[in-house]
Amino acid sequence: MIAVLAVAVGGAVGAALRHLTDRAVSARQERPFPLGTVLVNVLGSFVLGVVSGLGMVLGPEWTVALGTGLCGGFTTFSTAMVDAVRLARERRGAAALAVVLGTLLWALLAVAAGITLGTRWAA
Amino acid sequence: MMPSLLRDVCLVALGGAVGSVARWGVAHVLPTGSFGHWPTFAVNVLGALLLGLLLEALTRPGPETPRAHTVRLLVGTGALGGFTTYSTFAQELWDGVSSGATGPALGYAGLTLVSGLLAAALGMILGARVRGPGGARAAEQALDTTAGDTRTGAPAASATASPTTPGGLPAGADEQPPAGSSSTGPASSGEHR
Repeated sequence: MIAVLAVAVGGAVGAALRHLTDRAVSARQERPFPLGTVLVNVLGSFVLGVVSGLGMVLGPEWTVALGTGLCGGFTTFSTAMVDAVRLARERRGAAALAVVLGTLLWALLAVAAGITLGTRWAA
Repeated sequence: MMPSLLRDVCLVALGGAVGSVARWGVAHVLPTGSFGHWPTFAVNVLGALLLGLLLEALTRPGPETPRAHTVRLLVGTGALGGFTTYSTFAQELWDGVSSGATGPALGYAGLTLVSGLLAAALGMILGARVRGPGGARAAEQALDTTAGDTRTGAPAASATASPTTPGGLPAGADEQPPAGSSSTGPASSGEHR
């Protein structure tokens, strides 16, 4: 029961932060490129890496609240896919490819960096 | 009346809570199997399909209506955004790469991305169909350029092919054989051979 509540609260905060981040980023953009979505996915992957690197230090409740809830709610796979298809439909194939492959590569690096940092803090 | 930004954030947060709990539920219910990533794969591909469908169904020419705005933030940005996850996907990939299973990890990445893109595109096509007639014209122009071609050719095609037209020869020819003896002819000849 506590786990469900932790996921719900974490997911609510994560989704709200994603919306605010996306608003702030897209307000500064001239050309409509989904930079906000890329940013939240890379940043959220980094935080999840830190959470999983910290591991036992956090305890199970905080791990599920921050990992499954906050990071899961903050990052979004569905928006990235819809953004990419929309760009492809507008014949902006390079931008679509940048969203798909760019997010993947940066998110992988972010997870790796987060795990390294979290493990160091936990030690 | 709440300020619009606070109201928007509350809608997204509420949807995000529901979507995240649903994702957590799928992870507990769905067996991971030897593949290990089925729950994440399932929520991500299903979420991409549903988000594509929802956003396309809500799209209409002109400014967004207050109701469409509420649904988009609550269900789209909140629930479906929170249901899917990029961070867990990335972590599962990195776990594979760092443990030496680079091949399976790349396969998982490719499978998820291709399925996710196809699901989003399929959802958008379905969403354009369920959308009301107000936005149908814009959808046809954007998605289905062939729909315009069939429409312009429709009057000529319906005059010749419609079975309801009295002068339609094929329809009349099809109805006559069961009444006459000609229907048994081909069947009996087939038996003789």
